[in-house]
Amino acid sequence: MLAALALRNLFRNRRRTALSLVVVSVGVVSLLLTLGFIRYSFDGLSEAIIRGGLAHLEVAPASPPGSTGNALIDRSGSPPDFPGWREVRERVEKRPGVRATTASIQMAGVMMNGQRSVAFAGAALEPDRQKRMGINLKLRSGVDLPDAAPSPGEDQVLLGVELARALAVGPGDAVVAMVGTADGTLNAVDLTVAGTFTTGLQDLDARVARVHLATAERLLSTDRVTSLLVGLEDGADIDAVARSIQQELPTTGTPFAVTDWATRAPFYRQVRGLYIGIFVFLGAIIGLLVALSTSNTFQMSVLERVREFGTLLAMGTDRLQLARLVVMEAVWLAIIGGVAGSALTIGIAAAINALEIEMPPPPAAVDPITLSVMLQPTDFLWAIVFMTLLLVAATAPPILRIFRLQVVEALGHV
Amino acid sequence: MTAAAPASLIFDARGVSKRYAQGTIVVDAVSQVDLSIAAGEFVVLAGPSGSGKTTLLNLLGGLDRPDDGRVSFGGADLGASTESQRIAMRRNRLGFIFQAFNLVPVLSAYENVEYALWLTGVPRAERKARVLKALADVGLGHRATHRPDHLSGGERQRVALARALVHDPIAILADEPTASLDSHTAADIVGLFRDLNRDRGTTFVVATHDPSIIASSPRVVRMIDGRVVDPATEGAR
Repeated sequence: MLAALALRNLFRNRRRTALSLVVVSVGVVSLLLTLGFIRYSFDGLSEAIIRGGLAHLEVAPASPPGSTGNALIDRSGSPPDFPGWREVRERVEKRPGVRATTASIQMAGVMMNGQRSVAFAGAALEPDRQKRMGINLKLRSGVDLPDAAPSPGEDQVLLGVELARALAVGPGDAVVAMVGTADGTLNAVDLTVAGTFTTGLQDLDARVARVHLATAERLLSTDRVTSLLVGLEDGADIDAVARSIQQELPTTGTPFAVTDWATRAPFYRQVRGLYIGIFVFLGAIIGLLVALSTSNTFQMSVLERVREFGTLLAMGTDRLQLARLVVMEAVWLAIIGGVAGSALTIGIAAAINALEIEMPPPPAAVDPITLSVMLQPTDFLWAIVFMTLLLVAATAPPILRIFRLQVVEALGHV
Repeated sequence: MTAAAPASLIFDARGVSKRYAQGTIVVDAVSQVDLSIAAGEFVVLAGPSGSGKTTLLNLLGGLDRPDDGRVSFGGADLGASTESQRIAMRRNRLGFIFQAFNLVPVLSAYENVEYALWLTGVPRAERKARVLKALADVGLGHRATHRPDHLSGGERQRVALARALVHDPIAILADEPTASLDSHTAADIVGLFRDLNRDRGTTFVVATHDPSIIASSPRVVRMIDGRVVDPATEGAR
């Protein structure tokens, strides 16, 4: 009976209720659109990172004590001993959810064009396997590296666009890569620029280069690899596959670590932290505005019904029941406003996604981003739950008033 | 709560006083009142505005506590009872009627009456039969679905009466129940009170300054300035 009474009470002052519903709806729309845009950004960024070369998982010998935690610094020049990596790869590729793997060598050195020398951070992969994994570089000029291992003297390189610009080279030009080898000497290899690519980040584009695994082995005079990169099927549960691979790895000898992409992408974690911080801040402001506005509405609503509450108390209603009545009014308001806001959000999100509005590149990024909203069904549920909790909290002042109400005074209230 | 009064005594006030502060002035709303009301009585508290009728009614109904003296209901000392005990008493054993009807405007006549039964925990199916009977008893069976703003003053007060009696209270306390009604409707309402008092044995305590009610009542307790001034009427039937 209280629920029905609460619902009807909402429509006593239709104008005020309509205003409150607008406040709640706009709050829900704001929260959901912000959340949808942030999810789209996370999704786009994670895809770019995974497809850009980091892959879903990495299998590598566990970092020795004293390592910096930075894979490039720890592993460049002298790849650690990864015994039996071909056998490990075979076993990993048989695990459910694994699409393909590629051996990877990370290195650092100097790239020269005869006139200039620029430091670079390189990664060597197996192009055919890399493509099967879904790793696709964003080429800006030229062509991708050939799938087949190049013969000595036919080695090619893909350069980051800014690195190519710094060296003033383009597709077809020759460069020399020099690195420290596994035995501590310097080695250099002539390379032909196959093309240029972008990672999406300007600073990284100024340092990054890609070569075939065979080229890196020649350059480093080694047959060791740094790690195995693992690409998963679409929709595979990364954590579950990681656990499955970990169980499949040898338990004796060199300990192996299976690391997901997010752990190896500090930039992503920073961006995610920043975006979540922004979302929490925005959510707090939206929540505060909604709570203040609706709390005032609830106070007015209770103030107008003091004599009615006095009557109900006189009849034997206890104060807790009256408090429940006010809370139910808040719940109804949150549900109706939340549903209306959700419906509005669906329409607005569809319009935004259809318009494909282009936004300037984020700081340090190269490409502009499309304003898009990505929402999940649970987002709507959470938004309504959030609004419900918020509005229930906003009933605290009027409920306090109810608990302080003197029946006789309330009955005489005009 | 303590039990000590005779079984037939519903209300018993002894040396009851209630003071209110109006700014810096303390007003004796009720002063040293002694009053006993037996089961089945029809008692009118008569007096001009400000004479303390409503305050005494509030004290008898457990809506307020006396500053001095003792008020008992059915032998239980209301001053010594907890709020939850007084709530339970009002919910189960008393009915209230107010001058301005005090119906919940968003509920229909049926629902206003049903609310009193819902409070006492009566199941929905049983509620329906009792609510319809209560409305029929006050002559409003055909107006059950109407909201208060679609009812006349007399009809609203009948709904209030149905609400007050639907849970079979021992006593009904009515504060100026006819003050907002025309004389014809007022007479109808008072007639209903008397019928219920006679047929069901429900005790009625009515605070009023309506001369027609006072004239037709079997027992009138006259009050002026918070005191019972006509002891001759006290206890007379």
